[in-house]
Amino acid sequence: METSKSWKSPPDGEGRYLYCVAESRGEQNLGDIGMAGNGVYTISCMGLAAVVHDCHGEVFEYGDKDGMKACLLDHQRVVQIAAERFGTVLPLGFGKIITGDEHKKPEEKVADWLKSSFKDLEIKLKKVEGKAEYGVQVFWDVSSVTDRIMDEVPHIRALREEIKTKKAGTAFLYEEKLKKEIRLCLEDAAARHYRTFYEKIKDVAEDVRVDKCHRTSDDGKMLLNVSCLLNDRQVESLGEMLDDITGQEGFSVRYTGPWPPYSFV
Amino acid sequence: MAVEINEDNIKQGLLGLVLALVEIIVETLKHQAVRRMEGGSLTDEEVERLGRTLKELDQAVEAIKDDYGIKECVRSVREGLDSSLNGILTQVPAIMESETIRKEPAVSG
Repeated sequence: METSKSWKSPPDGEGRYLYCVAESRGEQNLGDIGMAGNGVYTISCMGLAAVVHDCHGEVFEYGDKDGMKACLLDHQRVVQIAAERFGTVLPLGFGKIITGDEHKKPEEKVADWLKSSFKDLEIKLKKVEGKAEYGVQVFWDVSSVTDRIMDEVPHIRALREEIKTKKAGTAFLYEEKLKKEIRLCLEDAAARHYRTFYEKIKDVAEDVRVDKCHRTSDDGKMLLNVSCLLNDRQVESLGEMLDDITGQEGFSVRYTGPWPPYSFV
Repeated sequence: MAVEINEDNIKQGLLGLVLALVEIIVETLKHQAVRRMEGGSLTDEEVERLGRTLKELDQAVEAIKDDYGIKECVRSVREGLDSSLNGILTQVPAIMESETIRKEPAVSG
């Protein structure tokens, strides 16, 4: 093996694309399963192994949108295969590359990174050991909740009755007032349900990360979007809890996983 | 990526943008009108007149959107504005914090 001093970095800056980190000793070959059929293998140091493929440069080129999508899927697949092989893995975000320099080869820099981050990586590996990530999104049907508010909230009902007694122009402004009151009730209900569901999920899961709520095309509005870190026993408890939420009128749940714990590393 | 531009697209886009801004102004007027009505500073007659005017304005905006087939365009402009505003609002606490940090030495000194 060449010594680090004899290493001369190529002009395009050779690097290693990182998929994930696992506990393993010795270099292992995972085959040509990487992005664009690249050979994937491990670089190990102090009992930790970085799953990588050889690449060029600091900037990763994936071509157009479809190319990027394919690369993302490849990245996820490699992490999945590594998880099946090594058990627990710490998945790294898409596009992480470590390059060599004039003193050190890229694989030596990867080993240096494993060494310098050893404590942190060990703590994170311990945390996610035997667990997986699950995505939970809770939706509520705003129009059915609005109907319920209109029928059940006393001051809203009173306002609706009052509108019937007003002339056209005044009734128009009262309608606006009604919309404002309903919006306030909806915001209040959303905050209340959010807190209740979040606390319930937090009680069940090892850890929870809150993600942004996305817009949805239909009437079902996303109320809560979280990623949970769960072991097998906790998965069952969460399932039962989500069944309870689905059982409530106007609420639905989307549940995905198991995923490698991307949100917890 | 090439953007396809033709005269109709530009007209629709511009009209959509204008109507989205008009809608926002009308909503602000309605909001103010309701506040004044609740505050009790208007007579019943003034409330009725204000309500009728705003109702007509509201109907006119809807009619223009229907006539020019730009409902979807207006909705998308408003969604874009909403998400830009959300982006700015989420940054406000960080900006205010950095402003406070910057001002602190001057205050303590």
